[in-house]
Amino acid sequence: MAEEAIKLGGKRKSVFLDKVKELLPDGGNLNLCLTCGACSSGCPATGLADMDPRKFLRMAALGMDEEITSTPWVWMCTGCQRCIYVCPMKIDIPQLVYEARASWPREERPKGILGSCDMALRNASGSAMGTSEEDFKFVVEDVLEEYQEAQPEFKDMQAPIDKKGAEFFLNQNSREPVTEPDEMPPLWKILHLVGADWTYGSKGWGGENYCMFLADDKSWEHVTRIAANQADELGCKVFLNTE
Amino acid sequence: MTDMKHTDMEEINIATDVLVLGGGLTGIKAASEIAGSGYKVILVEKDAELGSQKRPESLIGLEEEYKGLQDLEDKIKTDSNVEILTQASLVSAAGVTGDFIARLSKGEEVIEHNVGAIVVATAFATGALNEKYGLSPADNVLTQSQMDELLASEADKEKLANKAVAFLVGLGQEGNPLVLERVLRSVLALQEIDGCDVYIYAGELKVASNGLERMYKESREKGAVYFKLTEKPEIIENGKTISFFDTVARRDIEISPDFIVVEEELRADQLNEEIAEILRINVGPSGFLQNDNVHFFPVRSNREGIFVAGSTREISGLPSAWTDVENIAVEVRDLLGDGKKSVAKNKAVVDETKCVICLTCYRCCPHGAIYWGDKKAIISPVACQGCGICASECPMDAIQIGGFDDGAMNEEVKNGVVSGNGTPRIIAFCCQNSGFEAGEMADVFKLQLPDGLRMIKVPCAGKIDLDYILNAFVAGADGVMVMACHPGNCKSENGNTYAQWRVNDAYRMLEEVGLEKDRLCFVGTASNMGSGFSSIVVDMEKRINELGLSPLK
Amino acid sequence: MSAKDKKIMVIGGGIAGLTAAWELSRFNIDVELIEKTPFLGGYAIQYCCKATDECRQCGACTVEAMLKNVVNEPKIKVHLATEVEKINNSGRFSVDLKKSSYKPDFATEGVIRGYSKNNSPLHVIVDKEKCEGNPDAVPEGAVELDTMGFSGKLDVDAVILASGFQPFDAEQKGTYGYKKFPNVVTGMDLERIIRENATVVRPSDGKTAQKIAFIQCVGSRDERLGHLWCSQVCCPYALRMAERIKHKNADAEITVFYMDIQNVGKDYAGFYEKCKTEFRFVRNIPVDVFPMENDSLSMRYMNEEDGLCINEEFDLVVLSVGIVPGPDNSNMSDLFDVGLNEDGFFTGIDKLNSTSTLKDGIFLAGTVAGPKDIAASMAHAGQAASEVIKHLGVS
Repeated sequence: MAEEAIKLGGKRKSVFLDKVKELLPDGGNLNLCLTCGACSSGCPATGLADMDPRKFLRMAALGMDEEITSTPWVWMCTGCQRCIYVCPMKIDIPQLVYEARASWPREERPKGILGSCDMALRNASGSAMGTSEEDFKFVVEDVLEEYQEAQPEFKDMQAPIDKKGAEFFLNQNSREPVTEPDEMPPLWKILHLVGADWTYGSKGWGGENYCMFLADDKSWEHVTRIAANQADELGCKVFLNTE
Repeated sequence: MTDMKHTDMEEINIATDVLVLGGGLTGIKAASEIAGSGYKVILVEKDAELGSQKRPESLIGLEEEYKGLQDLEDKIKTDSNVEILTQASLVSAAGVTGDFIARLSKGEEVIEHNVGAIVVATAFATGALNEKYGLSPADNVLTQSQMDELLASEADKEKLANKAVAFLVGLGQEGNPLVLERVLRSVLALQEIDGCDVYIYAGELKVASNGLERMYKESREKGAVYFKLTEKPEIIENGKTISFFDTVARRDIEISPDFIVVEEELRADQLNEEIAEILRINVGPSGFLQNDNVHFFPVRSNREGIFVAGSTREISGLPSAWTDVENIAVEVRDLLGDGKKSVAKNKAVVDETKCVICLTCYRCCPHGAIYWGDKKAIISPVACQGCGICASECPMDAIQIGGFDDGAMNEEVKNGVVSGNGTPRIIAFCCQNSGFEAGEMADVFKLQLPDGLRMIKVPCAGKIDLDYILNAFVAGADGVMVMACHPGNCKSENGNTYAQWRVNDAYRMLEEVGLEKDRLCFVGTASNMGSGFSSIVVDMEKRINELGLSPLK
Repeated sequence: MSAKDKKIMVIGGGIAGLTAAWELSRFNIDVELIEKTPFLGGYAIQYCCKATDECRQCGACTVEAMLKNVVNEPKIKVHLATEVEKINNSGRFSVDLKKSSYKPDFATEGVIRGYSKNNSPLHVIVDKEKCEGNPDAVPEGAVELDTMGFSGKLDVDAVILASGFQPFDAEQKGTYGYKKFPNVVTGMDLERIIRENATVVRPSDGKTAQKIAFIQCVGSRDERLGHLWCSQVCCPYALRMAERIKHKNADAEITVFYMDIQNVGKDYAGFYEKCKTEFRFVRNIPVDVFPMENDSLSMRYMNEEDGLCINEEFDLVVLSVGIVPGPDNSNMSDLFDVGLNEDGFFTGIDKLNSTSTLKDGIFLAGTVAGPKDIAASMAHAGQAASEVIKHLGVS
């Protein structure tokens, strides 16, 4: 390894780790690593950018704040939570990764995620593709009609938008109405067959939340609130998050 | 110990006083328990004081219990059943259990005591491991003991505020839970001091003791950082800087601690070897007084009536020493009873007309059960475990073991070869503790066994005479097996070794008479190896079948 | 006080209970030994001999010997398939016993067999229907489970709780696929496999396992499970079995995945050095086991050298499961009014005397009070017997 030795002197300062610990219940157990390696064995991002969850945690513990807040690895993490799931000490590595993302200047964060978050902020639909409420409505109605006709057993199937008092508020992957509209009806069919009373919202139907992946708390909250408010306004009891 | 039939019993009187060697905490506890059972105890300590003040490392984590230990010491000091001899040591111990003559020296004086049992309760010693890490004593380099002392003083503790302290553990030795516990105690104490940072460089973290995992967690919670290394770190400028490759960060790391604390080894008391020689008991791994033989655990030695406790027999903290002492209390009660003991007359009988007092038996008895009189060797019926090694080793055939005398054994061998059905005929001499049990297990579980297999039970493989083996062949056996305990598992320590030697002798003789070597085998077995037994004897049958029936038939 | 009038109840017929009962019987004390299952011996009687060309000090053979002692001892009265219903403490203890609710968890046949030849009965019929029309299925002397068990009241002077532990249920660690993939076994399973077959075969096809992985600390040292302890037995049993496998089959390739190897036996440093020359030790705990077409298993783990993940194939994966408090601990804690520690094991009065309890006349022996190996369980049982003798005032 060509890298220079880490020189810790005597006293160590782990500003970043300490900051994250303060945010979490029980400090996210961030001190408790047994170095068993289960996190890294189970992590799909292990080995990318010469990083793995255990190494990431250790570097944070040693106060190597600059390196862990600059490694691109935090953006390779899928946020799948597997590391904490398999950790015998329940160490909240995902949150550590999240905070490392949040420490990046917004404009330097990965373009794809950043762009999708910004799209979602463009209108109230929450769509990461920036699809408008009207376009969504058009596609849903069009596809529904097609299926009602082509498959007589589903002629009574509905895909309501903004139906007041529906039991379930359903959201939707943003890409499907635009690029793969046929991906939508399978779920409608299931809901139809079980007799669920559901609705999309014209606002907040976009399911994924790239602002969360971007670690942009404010925008994440903004997008989430639009959807939640819409569900409340319609009087829905259950929010079915499909993403 | 054996299940032979003894009909002819006699009652003998035995001494019921008990000698306890070592006046440390374990010895004090042993004296207290044994005296509490109604026996007189002679407690012998080499130093001027008894030991509740000594060996703080065995008291790790037992602060609450400590007061009770001082009370215990006070109690035995006023117990009329306990005679305390300080600045005294054991000079010799003749005789056997129930009748040891212990000679103790105290200054110029030599005191003789007739005791029924002896308890050895020596402490362990600590040793610095600085050299293993290439560290010399210096202001910044402390041994674990020095750190313990520092932490015991409020004034000295101040020195550690806002300092970084590094511990080295498990890299200069394999380590054990007690060593780790000492480190963890220190780490937790340091974490109470303002601004004290702690790093631990460790090999394996030996947490296999109750409560250690929790302490380990607590120390991490409070910020201790552990580096688990596979080799020692590089020590620069006598500990001013520690450099190592961290396999977690996959980077070289350098840390410059203010203090570096080096683990200590806990090793057997130097007195042990001397005591072992006097008592004729075996010295086990690393100088502790018990072989690694499961049949002796927890507290037995190879000699009846001599017991080993706590750190005499292994590196152990006080809780396990207490467990040992309670076990010894039970053993002593069972052994000494009310001083009258019913013993079998024919357990091992020496024929005066044959014995020439060559002392072969005295030397080979693994239980130290044999001494001698004017006319013959004497085998103590209390100390004798009935293994029969002496009987088989005796060049004059002067010793017979009850239930296994040579006449009956040779008869059984002959009958085994000639009576009943099944060929090839395989005689298996089976130790009753292992091979015989395994064979019965295979039989009960209806596992495959050769029709021509005949098991002959012996009290110990050490009782298998060379004659038995040869007689079996002479009688026409197609194969002979000697099924002993695995090495290290013999209740008589080395009965299996004697058996192996005799089998080796027999090989030479078979060669001389032109009989195939494969007709004889020696195997290690255990009582719970039913399926193993089956496959071993089936293999043997196969080999014999390939050779054909014995030409001696 | 003479021992003649004294009677002790020992609850649990595993190695601790057997030892405690036998130690007491040496002093002419009557013992009522209560065992929930139809067989004496507990888990320890199921363990295999791990000797190579020499004894490895696992102690399994001493369990066999102790069981033999107990069944041949007339002072010990054994009640199989029996459990405690109620206990009344009025100076002496009056204990109501009932037929236990034991159901075998490993029976695929109508008849189950004890692990020792000294079990009596040796065969127990657990499912009569499965035996119907097949007289060969019922060996001579087999007893119906339904007819076993003791109901009634016994008065005793003291009680020793020796109900043991349970092995960690490896199914809780779902990613290992235990019980989904036949060749993922626990250490406990491997003990039985070796004891029964004298060799290590793959459950899926009975073929010799050549490439074997041991995963340590399964269910131990795990705060998520609430198991914040080292089970103390898993490194010893895994390394001893691995040594045994290697001894019988020099070509076997054994990998041990671990966090910290704990000491094995008195000469642990020498033993570990030997192991290091014979097995590969990987300081990393894998979490994913994937089934392969040939019933082999692929495991993914990080290679510490380069930080990359490796997928490696094994014939057999052994999960070194640890010691977990017995399933009846909380119920027994209520029945006997004896406290459990934060881990769920019974707790003694202090660190030095972990066999006496705060409840006068109730004692603990073996793993009911925390993880122990066979030797330590026996020693603890001896300590309990000593405390009981003192309690009774027998001289």
